[in-house]
Amino acid sequence: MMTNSFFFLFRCMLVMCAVSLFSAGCEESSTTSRGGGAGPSSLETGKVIGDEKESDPGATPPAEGTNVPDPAEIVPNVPDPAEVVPHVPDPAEIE
Amino acid sequence: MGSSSKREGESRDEVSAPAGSQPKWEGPLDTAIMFVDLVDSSVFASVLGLKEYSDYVESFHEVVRVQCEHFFEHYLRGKYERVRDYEYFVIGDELVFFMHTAKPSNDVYLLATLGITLKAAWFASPFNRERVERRSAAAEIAVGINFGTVWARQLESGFKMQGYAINLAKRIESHSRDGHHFRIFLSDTAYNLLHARMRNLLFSDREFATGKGILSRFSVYEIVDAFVDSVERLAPEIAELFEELMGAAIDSNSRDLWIHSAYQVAGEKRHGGVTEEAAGRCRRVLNYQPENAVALYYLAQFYREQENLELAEISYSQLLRAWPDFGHGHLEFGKCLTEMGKEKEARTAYLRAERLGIEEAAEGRTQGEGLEKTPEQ
Repeated sequence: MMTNSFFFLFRCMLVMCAVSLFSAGCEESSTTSRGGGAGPSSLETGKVIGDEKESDPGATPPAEGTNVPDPAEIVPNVPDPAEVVPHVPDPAEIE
Repeated sequence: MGSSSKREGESRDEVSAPAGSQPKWEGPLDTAIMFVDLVDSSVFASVLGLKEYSDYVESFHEVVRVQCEHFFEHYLRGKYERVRDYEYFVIGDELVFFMHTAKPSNDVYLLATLGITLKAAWFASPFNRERVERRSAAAEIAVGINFGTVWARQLESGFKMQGYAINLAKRIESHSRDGHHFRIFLSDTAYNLLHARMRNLLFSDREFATGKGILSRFSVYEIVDAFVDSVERLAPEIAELFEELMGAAIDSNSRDLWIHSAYQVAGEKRHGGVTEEAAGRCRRVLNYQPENAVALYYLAQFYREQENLELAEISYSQLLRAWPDFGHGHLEFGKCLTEMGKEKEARTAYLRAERLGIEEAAEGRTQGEGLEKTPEQ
């Protein structure tokens, strides 16, 4: 009885070790395949917000409200048109 | 065409409110007068059907009504009152406008800027839009402006005016159809009230013209270029259409450079600087009109904004050779030279601007002199 239960326990431990080794191998292979033809699910999990430069140029833009960069980064140093004074004054009236 | 539609008993030198009642007041009245007419309307009448021609003239009436109302009620915020300060009548294919406040220079300036705005509004009309989309030249309007004394009778319904000044304004408008730039001409008197005060309008040299019923030759000046923002003065619904059409009109038509000027002025205001696209259009305009003031000015500004000061200097020099009396050009040139560290040349540019009445130039010169003295101290 003791021997049978010991062997059963031993087999269970071996199976658990095999499963954990297998899962560790899978994790490693998904990391190395990013951007190299992996399935869509692995790309989704690997995507980082603000990492647009690394994505394909032909890829569809993100949906509205997601991954929106800071407007200051898109249009640098453009003053508010309301504040711009034209170089040559263009008054509505003379006096 | 217009004369056939005039009211009964009304001659060219007698325009406005219908006669019949006793005047509340009558006497001489200093008035700025502007005639606006559709160019080649007889040609259109001969080739268009009755209904099409009627729609064409009706379209002009609508543009005038909407734009004049917006100009005075919204852009000038209702400061001027119709009848009391100004009045206008559209008769057939012709508009006649009177302005008679206590400020003659301002009256002439307002009419000149209104004339430029009406050109833009008419350009954006459905009639012209169709023509531009077919790559045909847009139907034009010509403008004549005079300032003079008329005999005015103030009736219940408004002023009734008569006088030679009205005849002359009409003859100036007739002459303006042969213009080469804005086709907006000013009489000697109107020009003298304006040119020394306004730096956003550039005029041709004086030219002489003759007109039916005018005994001697009269002198006129054409607006050659204008740093006037038409878009800002247009009714919003017209401004939108005008902005849509501007690019196509500039790229397909080398004749109407007034549209290019409107585009550059409005574009700089909108973007806060001269864009690459705008600079490209300046270069293309300069290919066939090397002395175009607006193109040279905005190209110089573009180079300055790009910190390419050597090219900016070349553009400013070219601008001021062609337009030596353009005070603001000298001022900006002075600033450019200061940025380049050419203090002596900058001082000369500031002095020229000052001589042309640009007050800001004195400030620039003083700062420049301060910089010049610093190394010696």
